[in-house]
Amino acid sequence: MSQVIIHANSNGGVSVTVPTGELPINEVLEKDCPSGAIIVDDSTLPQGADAQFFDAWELSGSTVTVNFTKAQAIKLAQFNASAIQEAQKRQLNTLAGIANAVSDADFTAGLAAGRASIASATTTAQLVAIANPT
Amino acid sequence: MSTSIGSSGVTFPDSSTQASSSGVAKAWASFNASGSITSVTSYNVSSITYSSTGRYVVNFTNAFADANYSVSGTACRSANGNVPQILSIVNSPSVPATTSCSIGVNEYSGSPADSQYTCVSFFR
Repeated sequence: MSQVIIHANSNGGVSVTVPTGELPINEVLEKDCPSGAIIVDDSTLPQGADAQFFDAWELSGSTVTVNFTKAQAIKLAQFNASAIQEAQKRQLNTLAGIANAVSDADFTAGLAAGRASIASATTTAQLVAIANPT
Repeated sequence: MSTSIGSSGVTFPDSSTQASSSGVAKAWASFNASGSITSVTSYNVSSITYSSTGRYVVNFTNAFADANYSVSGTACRSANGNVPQILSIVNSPSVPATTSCSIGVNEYSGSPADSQYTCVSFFR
């Protein structure tokens, strides 16, 4: 079990400072962190699927939680970015006379289904399980 | 404490002495930042702060004389087929200072992204 230092940051999120071991953690707390930062065991931080939505972490007292609404927005942004990349690839395939893996109708349906899954998800595990559009 | 290498007699000074020498890396770090910061190896780095996706602050054990240092590094997101990324100095959450430097990792699309292999060196 390792110890880290956490504090709320100006974005409303959580910053996690990981000591390298060159200095004792109390010195790192004094030197590298703002006042109000606290030392916690890293095992108390969000794990698993929750850990994949770091920008949705929020600090309440000494407890870090995941703001699910933020996590949904993060997943939707990732999904849309992937959709744009895939759409560009499909356009290039079309120009080059290369067949796309799925039809236009299936691709469009996949986008709608993915976005609906993100909107209806209730856990971060469900969000993680939603595949990028192909 | 200085470090001697093998039987060649080559001796490197400790980080506080090396901080005033020119021509050598004053600090470096290598770490995995996918979900959390792990596998950290470093020199003259007291800690690394993970502030948001693709945004890290490298905190120096011994401060630089000024903030006019040179930064070089690489980043790679191997989870998706050894995808190379772009590493740069950023001004958020803090501007480069004598005691720390904020670095950012982005995808080629421009989006901030975490990296499984982030390596950065500081010269002055």
